[in-house]
Amino acid sequence: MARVYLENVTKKFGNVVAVEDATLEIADKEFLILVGPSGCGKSTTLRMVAGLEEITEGNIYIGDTLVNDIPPKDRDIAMVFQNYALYPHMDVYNNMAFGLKLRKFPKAEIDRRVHEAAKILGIESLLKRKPKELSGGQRQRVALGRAIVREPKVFLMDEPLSNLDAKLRVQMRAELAKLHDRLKTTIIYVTHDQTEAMTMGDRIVVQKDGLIQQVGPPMEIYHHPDNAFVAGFIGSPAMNFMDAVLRRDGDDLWVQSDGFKVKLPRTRFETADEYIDKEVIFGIRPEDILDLDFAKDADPDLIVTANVDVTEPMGAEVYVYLSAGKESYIARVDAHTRARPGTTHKVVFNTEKAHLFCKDTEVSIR
Amino acid sequence: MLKSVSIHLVLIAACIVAVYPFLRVVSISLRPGSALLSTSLALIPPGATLENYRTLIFDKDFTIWLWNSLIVSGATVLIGLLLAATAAYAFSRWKFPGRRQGLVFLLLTQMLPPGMLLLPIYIMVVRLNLFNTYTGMIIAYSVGSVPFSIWLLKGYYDTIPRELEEAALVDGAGPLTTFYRIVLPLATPALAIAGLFNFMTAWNEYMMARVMLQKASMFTWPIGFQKLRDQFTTQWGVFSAASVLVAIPAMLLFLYSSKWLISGLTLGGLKE
Repeated sequence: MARVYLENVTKKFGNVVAVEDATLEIADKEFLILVGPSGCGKSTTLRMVAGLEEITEGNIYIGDTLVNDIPPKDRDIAMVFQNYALYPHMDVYNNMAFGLKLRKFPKAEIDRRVHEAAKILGIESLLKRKPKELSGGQRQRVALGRAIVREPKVFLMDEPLSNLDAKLRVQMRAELAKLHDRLKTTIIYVTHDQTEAMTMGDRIVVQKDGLIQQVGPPMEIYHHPDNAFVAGFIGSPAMNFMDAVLRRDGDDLWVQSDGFKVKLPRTRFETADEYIDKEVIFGIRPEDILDLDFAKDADPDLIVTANVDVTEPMGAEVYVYLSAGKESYIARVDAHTRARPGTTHKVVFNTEKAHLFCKDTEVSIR
Repeated sequence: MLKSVSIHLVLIAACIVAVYPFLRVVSISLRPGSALLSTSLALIPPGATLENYRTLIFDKDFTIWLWNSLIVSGATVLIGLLLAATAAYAFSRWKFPGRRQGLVFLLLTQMLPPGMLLLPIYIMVVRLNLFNTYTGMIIAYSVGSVPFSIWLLKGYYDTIPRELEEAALVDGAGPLTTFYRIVLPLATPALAIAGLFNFMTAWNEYMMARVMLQKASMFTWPIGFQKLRDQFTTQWGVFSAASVLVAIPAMLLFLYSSKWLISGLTLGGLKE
């Protein structure tokens, strides 16, 4: 068990900067998620911690040890790869035992650990099989098992669920979270899937173009994104962004766009004054656009009339695709909504939870 | 149904074409001396005898030739695989100055006709005092087999996913352990093909051996066979018996290595 500390870490491939000046402290026993679109540097960051990529600048510590020049085998880490990377010529038992054999563990200890891990993962009956005789989900479990038996200081997981089908992914997500509770080990987990990021980790690191955008607990990032990229990346369906102008009317703050004008709560945006009469990006999450039919006592200053383009019934709720003027946006409303494509519908913008971003820097205005 | 029948007809015809000459040789090797030039097509000749085999083994130097061939071919295979397996790994996995040029150079050596190399190799071998020695022959054969094997193995290593090696590195293996515990076992099909090819090349080679071997005790079987022909007569029965016997090691090797010549060995290790 150990903390991991990245200090001003930079990785360049030739002239391309994959990771730029990343500083990050991962606490002991923490489940940290690195999330971002492809090419954002999250896998590279993980591979540098693993020792599979050299660091161009900066330092990485595992525990209190500077590991920059320590080969992967001596870092006491275990890694689960996206495509499993099981040794095809070894059966499941030997796949899991390989690392322990290399470290010259006694046979009885290897046996105990492999069987214990296999039991946790429910793969005891598969120990004699070769990887090619396993299903995707089973292979994934073996890959996890291979990491677990090592009892390493840090687990590194590189999109371990991305090759599983949707149902299995949901199941494994819960199992991994349980596993973390059980093993009480530091886990660094890379994913491009914001759902995994939201549901599994203690903290999320959002990366883009090699730069860390924001670090924080999932709900903190969800409710208080530092910039428009983070706001748009975390949450599904994604946050609606609309070009708008900030207006002052007496003491009140309004946001005006091509298709609507709504009042903002003054207390939410204390630093907004410098943006008055300037263009900003107005962000609001689909669940914060309410169906007026279900928000009877709504403030009239927050009501917007929009055209309904498409409705997507999801069962428990409906995604309504709305447009007004040049702007279009999605509302996530009650399944019993009366909104129908081709009609107009009244919705309420819950601006208590809306966001403003600077048009130039895309930084959050608070 | 019709398709299956026609496929079988073609395959049976191909088998006959392939096997018949060999059966003729077997047949001739069994003929008694009096019937050597008989035009009979019977596979088991009348009065079949193993006399030719006895003559070959006990009255000629056949066992010496066979032994020499085995030593030279076996060592060529071993040295070839040892050098090629490691060199090809370097070419496949690491970027170093001269990598491209090295690969092209190795390919160029394969384009020279073997006859062209006879004289330079002969001169080198004589200067190095390796004339009439196993070492000389093995070096001469390896000159051809190592570059070929490097190319073959490099191509195969390129298809082995790097993640497997990375997994091993994280699991606690050093680069060398990763190579022989993970990469080499997965490359067995390519190693088997390279080994087989190098063995057959060295086993059947005549021209180089003819130039490099003068001492009868060093003859490999292709040179030895020539000695079965006298100036005026050829003992076709003995010659045929010898042909049958030298085919046996090659056939055994084929059968033995066939279990490694399985495709898809890396199947299942990664998500396809």
